[in-house]
Amino acid sequence: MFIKASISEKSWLGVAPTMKNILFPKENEIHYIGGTDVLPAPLETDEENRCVALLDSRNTAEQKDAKSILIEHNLRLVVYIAKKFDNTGVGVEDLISIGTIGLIKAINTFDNQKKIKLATYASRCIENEILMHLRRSQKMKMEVSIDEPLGSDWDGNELLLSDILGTDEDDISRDMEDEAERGMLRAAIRRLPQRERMIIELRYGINDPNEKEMTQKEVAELLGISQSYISRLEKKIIKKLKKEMK
Amino acid sequence: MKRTYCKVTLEKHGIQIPVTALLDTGNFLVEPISGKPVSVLEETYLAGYLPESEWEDGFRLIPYRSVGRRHGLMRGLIFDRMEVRRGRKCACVREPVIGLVRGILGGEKGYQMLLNMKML
Repeated sequence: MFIKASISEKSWLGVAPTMKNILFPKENEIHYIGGTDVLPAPLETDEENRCVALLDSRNTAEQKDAKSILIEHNLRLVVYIAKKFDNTGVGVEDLISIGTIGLIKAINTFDNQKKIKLATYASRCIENEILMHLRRSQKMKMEVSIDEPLGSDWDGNELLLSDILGTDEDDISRDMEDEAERGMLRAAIRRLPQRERMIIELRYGINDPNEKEMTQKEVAELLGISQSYISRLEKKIIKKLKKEMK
Repeated sequence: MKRTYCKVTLEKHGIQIPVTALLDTGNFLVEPISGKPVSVLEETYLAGYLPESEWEDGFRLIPYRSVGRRHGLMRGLIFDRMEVRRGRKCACVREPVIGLVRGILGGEKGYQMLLNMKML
């Protein structure tokens, strides 16, 4: 877990721990700190009841002490509950820390007069706290800022996500222009005299379910006129349409 | 009795925090769930270097006892790494657990952190 450069043990252990090392606190100096190797066991009922009673004490030191004792001895409960959420992607240790905040809130707000056991009330608060955190972190994971910086170029100008995302404005206006033009063309064709309109529609497959485009010869045969005449007419019609589109 | 000081650099999310630490043989603090040893740092000192936004990630609560305090719950923070230097010697610790104390540790003596020997 850690990389140790070549240091002989002797050089780090300057002084062996003796009573002399344990100093009495002067001006808030703390020099002796012990911990617990395992989490403290839950309190016996009478011990717990005593602490709960002290929660309402006017003596703040007593009250604080009682709270600390209750918190410490209910940490195993937090671990038990936190382990249930192990599969949610948030590390168990983080869940325990969050759950502990729930436990602290529970002890700060516990009302002895209500007919609920401390363990039950605390369990709910712990679970709530964890669930709230999971919901928050879920939301955060889904959200990405649209101004997310992606990197910078040589000049130090930043590239944001908003620069990349989104359709090109040119594409958008071009599509809109195309649509407008198509609308105009359709309207212009509708305004043509019947035979001219028919010629254009047959030649370009407009209004045909298969969009079949007929050759000039085919149209000529259909209308009973010569192919060369169709050619001339077509040229005229297209010129006319072009003029209307301007 | 000689006091042993060393220069420590804590790092979190790219932020470097220089600290003077006392090698504390009286520090037996261990984080009970992971079993990792805990070193102790002045909270106000850290606040001068680490913005509030960085205090949530890797937050821990550590039960402890000390002289004059039988039951305590200490706020802690997991850093990305810690470098400890004394003279020419250097040690590197990954993801150290650092407990935060309110109040002063060293004061005029010029240290802000009590280093747990087990971390090295």
